[in-house]
Amino acid sequence: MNKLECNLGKFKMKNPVTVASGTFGSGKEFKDFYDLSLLGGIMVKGTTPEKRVGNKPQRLVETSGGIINSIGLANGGVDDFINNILPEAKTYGTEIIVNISGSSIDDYGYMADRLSIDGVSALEVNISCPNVKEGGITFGTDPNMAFDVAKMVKNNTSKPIIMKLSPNVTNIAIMAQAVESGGADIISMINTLIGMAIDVEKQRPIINNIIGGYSGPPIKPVALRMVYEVYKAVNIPIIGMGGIMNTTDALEFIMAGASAISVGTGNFVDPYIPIDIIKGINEYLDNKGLSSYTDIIGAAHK
Amino acid sequence: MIFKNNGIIISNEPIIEDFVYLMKINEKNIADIAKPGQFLEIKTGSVPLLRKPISIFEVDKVAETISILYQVKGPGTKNLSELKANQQLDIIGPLGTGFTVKKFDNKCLLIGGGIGIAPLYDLGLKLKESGNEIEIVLGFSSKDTSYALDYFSKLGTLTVATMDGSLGIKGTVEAILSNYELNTFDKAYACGPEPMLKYLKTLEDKVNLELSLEAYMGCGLGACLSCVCKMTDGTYKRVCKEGPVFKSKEVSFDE
Ligand SMILES: Cc1cc2nc3c(=O)[nH]c(=O)nc-3n(C[C@H](O)[C@H](O)[C@H](O)COP(=O)(O)OP(=O)(O)OC[C@H]3O[C@@H](n4cnc5c(N)ncnc54)[C@H](O)[C@@H]3O)c2cc1C
Ligand SMILES: Cc1cc2nc3c(=O)[nH]c(=O)nc-3n(C[C@H](O)[C@H](O)[C@H](O)COP(=O)(O)O)c2cc1C
Ligand code: FES
Repeated sequence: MNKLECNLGKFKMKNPVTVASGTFGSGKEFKDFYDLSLLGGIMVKGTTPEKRVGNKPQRLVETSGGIINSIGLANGGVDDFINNILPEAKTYGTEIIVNISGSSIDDYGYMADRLSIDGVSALEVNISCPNVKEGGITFGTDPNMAFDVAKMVKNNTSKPIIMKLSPNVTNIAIMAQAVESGGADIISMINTLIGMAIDVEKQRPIINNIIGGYSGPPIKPVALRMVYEVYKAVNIPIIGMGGIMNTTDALEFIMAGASAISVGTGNFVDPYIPIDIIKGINEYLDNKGLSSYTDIIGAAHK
Repeated sequence: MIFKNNGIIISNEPIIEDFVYLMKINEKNIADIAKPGQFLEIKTGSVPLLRKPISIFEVDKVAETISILYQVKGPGTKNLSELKANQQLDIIGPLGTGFTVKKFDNKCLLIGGGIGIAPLYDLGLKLKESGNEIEIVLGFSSKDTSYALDYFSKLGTLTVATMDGSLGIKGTVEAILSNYELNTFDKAYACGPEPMLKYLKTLEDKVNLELSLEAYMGCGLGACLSCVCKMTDGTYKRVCKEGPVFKSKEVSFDE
């Protein structure tokens, strides 16, 4: 019996371990290390309606135990994804979760419609980007806009919808409830925390875009607290992420309320982390005499 | 094929104490397939978090070893300098696209600045094996901070420049190259600090030139898109995948 079988409502994975968007490409770059079909799912690099060249370098830097990135959603656009990336990705034998972004509510509708095709297992909706039409306010910081995005995506696809929350808000539970009522099937969290780093020799910001998204081990306590709060606030499953580097980290997220987890920055440090976590969770269950990992989802709330 | 293996350190000796080190590692899989200009991503310790990109300095397929030549800059390279023989080293590689190696009709020129000389030595060895005649031009800041000259002088005619004139010609590699008939070379290869590469780009119409670039890397595997450099056509390419070696005419140093 598969102790790791993972049911996120109508979306099913062979195990709850996924890799986070933007840290794993489409999977191709990691094929030499292990059989990608071992993974529960791959959240592919963020896709937008049109091709985007991305931000000027320097795009990434290590700081205070984590990393800051400002890639600027560089990608070939949704047509390129459908024609050149998806055909290979869908042969990997794992769930392909397509991460989508837009600069207007309509963009999200368009993306959801275009990606309602064979080979796409679910859509992960990145709302940590600016709404150009509404003066650049980030979709994911305004509950009304986040609700509208979820609803727009819902109206344009029958695929499972994963709404990815931004941690850069005062009340994460309100955001989670907004996307749940908008039609989200699943919540993934957290995206990166906005941060910066300064080169004291040159006396200027290191990242060309000045600010960027902070990820890696230092954000784990923040992410964990947010998963814990959201678990209490909604009735849909959560995919937890933020600084997961090993089995213990993954178990903490599951006990805080996540039904699945995702490894991001960890893939840069050691590409085998997701595989080690799959083994590690199995071992933990064996040691505790448990027959399914679902027995420990939300365990920390008891 | 890309491997993530634990290599065994055979030796790790300072060439100049606290400054430049040469490490030899037993790692069969990588030694078997590494090509000149490719690099490794090395986990130097628990901190820093990220792996560090380091070029392959020399490959010995028979002895199943690879060597790296590195300069201590910060925490990661400092960690490397403290490792001892027989310890394990967590390495991913070989990575990236290296230099073009083939038999040319006329001479080849290697141009290196500072620690940028690292990827040129294995290139020189392979060019020589292919039957090429090689000239080498290296630039350092001073005699005291110059190194590995004994390696390069084995490859062909070596000319050195130092900023303070304490060894060879005074100035940068420009002081040497300005007197060269570059069109007598079929190919030139360069690696070094960005100002040097910018200067060399101005010579790209005189000689067929390949440049090895550096960029800050997240994954080293082509997945994160952090390491990009600008191309003359306005697009960005990944230094870790399409690079680190590019044709000079492809790359743009304009802001
Ligand atoms: C393709 C490639 C090949 C290289 N080959 C060699 C080599 O053969 N020998 C050698 O001594 N050095 C080489 N370098 C440079 C080497 O990677 C840096 O010196 C090293 O990462 C510094 O790390 P640190 O922790 O010691 O110092 P830090 O103080 O952290 O950094 C010093 C400088 O190194 C650069 N750097 C730091 N982290 C990274 C990173 N993750 N990716 C890219 N650059 C970074 C930054 O620009 C920084 O300003 C190479 C770099 C690249 C991109
Ligand atoms: C280099 C990089 C690129 C990222 N790109 C995206 C993206 O395109 N879309 C997205 O929703 N999240 C993106 N993220 C955020 C991650 O998917 C993840 O939510 C975040 O990094 C927290 O997890 P971690 O600490 O394990 O990395 C990116 C993160 C990094 C480090
Ligand atoms: S370092 Fe990640 S794509 Fe080059």
